[in-house]
Amino acid sequence: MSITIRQATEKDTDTIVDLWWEMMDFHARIDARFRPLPEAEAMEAWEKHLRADILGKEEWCVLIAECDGQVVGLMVGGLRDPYPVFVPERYGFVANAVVAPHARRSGVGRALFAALKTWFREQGVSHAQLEVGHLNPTSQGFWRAMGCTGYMDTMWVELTD
Amino acid sequence: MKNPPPLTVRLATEADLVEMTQLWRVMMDYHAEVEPRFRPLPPPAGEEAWMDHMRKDVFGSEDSCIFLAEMDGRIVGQMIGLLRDEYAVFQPRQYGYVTDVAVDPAARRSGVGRALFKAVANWFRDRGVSHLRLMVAHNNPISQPFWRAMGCTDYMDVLWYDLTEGQ
Repeated sequence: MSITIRQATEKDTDTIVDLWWEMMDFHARIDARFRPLPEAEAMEAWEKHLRADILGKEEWCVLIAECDGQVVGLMVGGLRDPYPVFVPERYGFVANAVVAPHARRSGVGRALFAALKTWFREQGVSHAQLEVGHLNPTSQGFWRAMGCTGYMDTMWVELTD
Repeated sequence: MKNPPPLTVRLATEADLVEMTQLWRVMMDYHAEVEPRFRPLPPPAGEEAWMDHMRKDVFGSEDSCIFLAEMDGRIVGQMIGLLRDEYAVFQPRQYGYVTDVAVDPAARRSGVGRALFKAVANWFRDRGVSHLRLMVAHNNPISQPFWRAMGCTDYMDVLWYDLTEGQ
């Protein structure tokens, strides 16, 4: 299976939004605290965000993986500045990563991240951050295999008790 | 055994900011010590940036609360709560975020953090907030057990990738 990685264009919007929903739905099924809006509403809101703030913007990189002419993966990266109380060193972050279920375990994620790392380095950043669902075994395994290590833990507490 | 002095919790005013900044520095330096990837600006630039942020974004905002713990008229702890809008694709629309938590090392293990958290949690409950989120450094041996004892559970892990590796 040969994987091609390319930058997404506006023409890919529908495919990207479908993959994004796949990822949201996957998260919601493994962690009840992760509560996206209903499908149509969520997809509409994210598509709006994608078109207005991400696609074609210099501080964002939207990568698509293709196999036999079919889109099988998506990785969205961006650049961020730390809060002003920190040493002002811009860093990269991975906002979204998803691989179509039928294409998993075939190097799609690794190929996407390799391309995103190249983009980050071209932007002159020396590290990247990303958030992974604590209860998401697929992504936890993937990112740790890529060489990522724990930095901060986002915790949750219910107030209804 | 000597009894600790009584602990009081109250809302902060801008007049407390200079004293609060000293405790903030202790907390930032502690983080930098346990986690070298955490790199606060050195004094006085860090203090100036934090005070500027506090004055502009936190004090006077209806969506923020700043609680202080005092013993013998001295600030021994602080905790900030921010009512935040969720990203447009999630529900519920708002959640509470707890940040800039500091307890004077000399006053640890005397219920300061717990008393502050109770006050912040009640402030959010009064606003109909259903849950709180907060970030704890993965390598912070004091805060990790504290928050877990407060009932917090892991939600997301922020991971770090060093892009200079293998270069």
